[in-house]
Parts: sequence; structure tokens; C-alpha cells
Amino acid sequence: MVSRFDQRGQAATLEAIVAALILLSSVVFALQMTAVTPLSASTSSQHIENQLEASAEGLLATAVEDGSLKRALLFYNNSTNVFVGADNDGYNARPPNNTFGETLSWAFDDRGIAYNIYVEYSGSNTGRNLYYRGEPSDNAVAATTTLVVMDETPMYHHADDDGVLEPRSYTVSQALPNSSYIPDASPGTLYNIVRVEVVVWRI
Amino acid sequence: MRGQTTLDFATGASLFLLAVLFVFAFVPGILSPFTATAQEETVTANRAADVLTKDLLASPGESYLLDGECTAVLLGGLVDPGCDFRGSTLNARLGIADEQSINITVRGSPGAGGDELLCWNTTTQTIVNASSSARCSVSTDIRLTRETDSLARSSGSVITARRIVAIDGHTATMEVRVW
Repeated sequence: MVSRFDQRGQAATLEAIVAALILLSSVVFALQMTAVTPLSASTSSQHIENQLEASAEGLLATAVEDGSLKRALLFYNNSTNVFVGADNDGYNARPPNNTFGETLSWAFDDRGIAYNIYVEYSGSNTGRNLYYRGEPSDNAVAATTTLVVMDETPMYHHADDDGVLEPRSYTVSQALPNSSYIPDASPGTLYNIVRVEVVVWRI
Repeated sequence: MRGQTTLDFATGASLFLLAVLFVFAFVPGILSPFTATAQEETVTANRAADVLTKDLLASPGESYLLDGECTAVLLGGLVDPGCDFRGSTLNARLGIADEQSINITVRGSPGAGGDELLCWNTTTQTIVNASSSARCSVSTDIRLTRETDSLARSSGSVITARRIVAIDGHTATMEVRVW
């Protein structure tokens, strides 16, 4: 004879499992509401993004002020159509061998920060990479500056060993119009206006 | 005939208690990203660095290009009516409450980028390297680092804000620490 109590032998265990499942699923449901949990992998931090953005802005401001950014932009080989020492996609492995590159490497490379530098200008060719390290992460920040290039601005190269670029004997309006780099955008003495964008992210 | 009931109740109760304990241990961890840690210091450090590099030590429209003399006046604790800041203490000049402590340090290296402490030579009015005692005299020249005059209690966390600046044409970093 089978008693009815024997048939209910696992009732409390089953009930406890159901109760535990309800508890756990409510926790999982609550987890879905939060975008960031301790378990989600992310390098995002508003403070660090602020610092990176201000660093990039400061770097551009100082490079414009001492002229190293303009010299680095015009450190260009117009017969092979690449930046000197770079390939078609700009510099990749290390920053350019000039004052601007040294500042970049001191400000970012030494601190484990990755960056891309894009050059944009008006005219038929829309832009080039000066330095390309790869696809930025979701938490990248950007800073931009604008430079005016005149017709009589010289091109630059290394004439001696001091690390600072020296002007060449020819100007941008003689060297660049037939290249795939910055075109002459204006009939007057203005050559073009160049926008330099630095995108910075932690790696 | 009810031989299994006690065992059944023990298993069920312990399973349920385990689940409750797990939830209680796990939920505080979910909320930890939202609990405030050093919020005040974070904002203060960032704001102080912005005020220094965009307003007090730089000309309007020339952010991050610092005036060497005013930087030396601020970090040397001197007074110069030609500079933009008022007040006598570092905290008052930056508009920071006295309860917070702040440290400002300018590092770089004249000529190339480096990480050495910089110094304002008051005789030649130029930026030099602080490690060279010939060019940066301990008694008369100003090392570009300063802390709050009366240091407040130390709290757990120190927040640092960094800026890349040009000080009299020399590329340098300005670090602002707040605690």
C-alpha cells in the first residue's frame, strides 16, 4: 500500500528550488537594468576621458604654438606621395621622426595611450592619416585644431641632425598641387586650411 | 510511513537559504559602481587644472600656453598685480575650499620633452631645469611645484588631473593633485 505521504516526499525540495529560481531570476532581471556592472569589461571612466581630451587639446595647442605641427604636416615627399618615412596610411609603428613626433611619444606612447591623427582639408582629396594606430575603442576622445597654409609656406625636411625640421627650397604651391595630398583651394595667396584631429584612447 | 519528510525539509530549507545568501552577497557588488568615491576631489582637480591652464595663467584664446612669470608668481607664493589671480594663499587664488589640499607640479624639460621638475630663473626670466643647481638657485629661483600652505587631513584617495602645456615655449605637463 502506498501512503499519500510517501508520494509527497520531495514537495519541500521542489518548492525550495522554485523559490530559489524566482530569487535568482529577479537578480538577473535587475542586472539587465544597469549598463555597467563590476563584471562588464570597460576602460570607461569620465575622469580619465576628461584628462585624455585635455591632454590632446594641450598637445595640439603647444604644437601649433611652436610650429612643430605645421612642419610635421609638410614633412612630405611629393614624388612618392607619402609622408617622409611613412607608407600610404601614414606613420604606423612609431610617430614621425621630428619634434611633433617626439612630443607625441613623450605625451602618449610613454603612458600606454594609443592615438590616431587625421588630416582633413578642403578640395578634391578629403583627407589623409598622419598617424594610424588602428580602430579607436568605444571610449576614445578627440581634439581638433585648424592650421592655415599659405602659398609661400615652404615644405620641410631634415637638413641637419638636430631633430628639428628645416624648410626646403620650394614652397607648397610648387610641390603639392600635383600630388594626392593637400590641393590648392584658393586662387589667392591662401593655399588651404587644414584641420588636424587627434583621437586618443587607452589601451 | 512519513520517513522522508524530515530529510525533504532539510534539503529544501538549505537550498533556499543558500540562494538567499548568494543574493545578499551579490547585490551590493552590482551597486558598487554607483557609490560615490572621491567625487569632490575628482571635480576639484579637473576644475583647478582647467582654471589654471585656460584662465589664470594663459591669455584669453590661448589656452594651454602659460605665462612663465605668472606661473612662477603663483607657485612661488609671491604677489604680482599683473597676474590674474587675487588672494594670498594657493587655495584662495584657485577658489578652492580650505578643507581640500592641492599640489601643483610642472614637469618637462627645456628643449625636448622630459619629466624633470622645472624652475623659473628669476634673473634671466627663463624656464630652466630644477636639477641643475647652477641654473636654479635654491635661494632666489622658484621651483614650479607648490602645495596648500597648511595641509589638511589626508583622506584615502588622491585624484590627479594632467594637462599638457607650453610654458614660455617649453612643452611641459602640469599635474594637479587634490586630496
